[in-house]
Amino acid sequence: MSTFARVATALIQGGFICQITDYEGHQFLTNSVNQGDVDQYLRRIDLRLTTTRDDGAFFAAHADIDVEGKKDAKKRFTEVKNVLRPMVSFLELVMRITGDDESVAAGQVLNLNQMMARISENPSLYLQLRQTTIDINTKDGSDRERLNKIVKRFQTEGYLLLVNPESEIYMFTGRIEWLMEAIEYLMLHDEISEEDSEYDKRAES
Amino acid sequence: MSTLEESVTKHLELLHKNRGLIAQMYSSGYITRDDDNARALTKLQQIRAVRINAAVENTYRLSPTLNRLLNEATHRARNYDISADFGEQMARLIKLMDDYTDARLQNRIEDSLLIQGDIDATLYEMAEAMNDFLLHVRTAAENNFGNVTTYKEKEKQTEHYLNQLERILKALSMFDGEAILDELTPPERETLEVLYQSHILDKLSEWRSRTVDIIHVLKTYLYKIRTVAPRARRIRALQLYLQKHPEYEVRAPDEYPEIPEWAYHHEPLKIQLVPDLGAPNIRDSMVDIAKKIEKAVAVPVKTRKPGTPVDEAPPKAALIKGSPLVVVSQRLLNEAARSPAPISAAGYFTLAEETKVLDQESCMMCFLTLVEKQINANAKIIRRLSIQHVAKNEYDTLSGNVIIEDVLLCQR
Repeated sequence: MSTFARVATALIQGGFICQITDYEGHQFLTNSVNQGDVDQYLRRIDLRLTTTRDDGAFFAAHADIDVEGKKDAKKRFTEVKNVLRPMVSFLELVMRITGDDESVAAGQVLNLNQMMARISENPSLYLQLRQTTIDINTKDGSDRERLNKIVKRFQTEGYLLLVNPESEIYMFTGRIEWLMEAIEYLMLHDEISEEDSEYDKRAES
Repeated sequence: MSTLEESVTKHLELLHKNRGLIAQMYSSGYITRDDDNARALTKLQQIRAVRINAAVENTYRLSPTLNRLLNEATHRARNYDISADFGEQMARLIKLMDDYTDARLQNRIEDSLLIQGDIDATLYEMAEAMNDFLLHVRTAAENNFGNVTTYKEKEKQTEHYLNQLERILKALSMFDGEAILDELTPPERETLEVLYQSHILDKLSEWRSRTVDIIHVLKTYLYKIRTVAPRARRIRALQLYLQKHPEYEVRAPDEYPEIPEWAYHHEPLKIQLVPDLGAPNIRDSMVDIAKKIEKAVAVPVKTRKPGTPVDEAPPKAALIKGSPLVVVSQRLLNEAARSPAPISAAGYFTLAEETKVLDQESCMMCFLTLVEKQINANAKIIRRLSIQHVAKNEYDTLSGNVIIEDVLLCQR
């Protein structure tokens, strides 16, 4: 299968093409000529090629907001609504564990074993893990099973990619940038303050 | 004594121990390394009191800092002073070179040697300042400006050093620019050209590469501070908000002023490929694939041994008896299906042995329910029957309360 065919098929199937999920495909789409070709192809079925703000991930979007487009936009809002609480809680948990604000960006590695070790040492992290599992309606099982369930869900939804099954190492995909844009939009329009009084005092670890 | 005091004392003691070497280096400009002083020079180099002299092989000279300290101690005045700005230093260098030419042309040998020493020191200090500056910025950048703790201060420092490095790049292009190279062309400045080559030109490409490298590191870091940090702040703020407002939910898109780009993402379409068996080439390929499929493992049929008859009592069987009303109703339906004359259900229940002792109104009610169920189930027996309800108040059908007192059944 040619790169064009692979990329176009993945886009039609709702995929996000980023350096993590498909490096070759992403490189292919970074080329403006290929980008034009794929866009032209998608436009024949009323779709178009677009990217997240930082060009980190390509995805197919509706060419126009017609009836179908509005219907799908509603689904995207519902999708964000369903994922918002557990994902924000999980991302904040990861940032606390790693002590690095960049740890929840596309391409960043998530080591489940290390995460679990830190959670078991810290009761506050443990509580947050429990809260996150409640948000995704999985209360049963050990802490490790809960963490696995959370990560599996985000893997299924395309936010994480399992890069090393033996060591249980995951990587954030470019789709996370899509969610970040959604979060920024919601906070702006729902007038949720972005002020973090502790932010300016906080030292980078 | 504090640790800091101790380290300063040790430093001064080491300098004192090697005071002879230091004085020799200060007065002569540099010292040649030999077996006697090698150990001492290495120790002094470790505390950055001396540096390798790039101009003359296997020689050492004092660090600019120590040189300046001794200049002040000995009240030795330096022409045009030293500046951190490389542009200014270049201007001063050109002035010194002009002075040097004047002294040479006027045959003032001592003056020319003195100025040559100044030029050498200036070039050396420029080179060392450049090295120190690049090392300092690189270390700070690698440590993410660990000397300051807040993001705001880190951002300020990054911007400051980026600005400085842009100026350094300009200075570097000035170092091998036509203007300065032309200044070194006259024959009387041949000695100065050698000095300039060893102190500056030989190191230029390395400085350029280091500067570009540091600029890249700083720009990446600035991007991180400007993009990653606000995003992290947003996540923290939203997490806090969601905890405080458990009732918060994302609204429908119609309730927002516009549909954002991210919401244009289309619903995934399922793609299913079916082989076109009509096309000969595809059919042939499919045959090839089919041939490669391993045959299913044959499961051997187990032959059972014939059994032997066993004398045993027949299994216990229970006769399921229906309720009297159901039995009589079923018998009535069967008889009516064969009878051309209508049979009254009420009369049948009164006469039947099983139901004559029961409350007749209840029997009729149960029978009506049973018939209705059979009609709904489209039972075979019902299809063979003609059923006629006899109402008690037929004259008053509009009352809305029809009381059935009998049902007449016969063969259809």
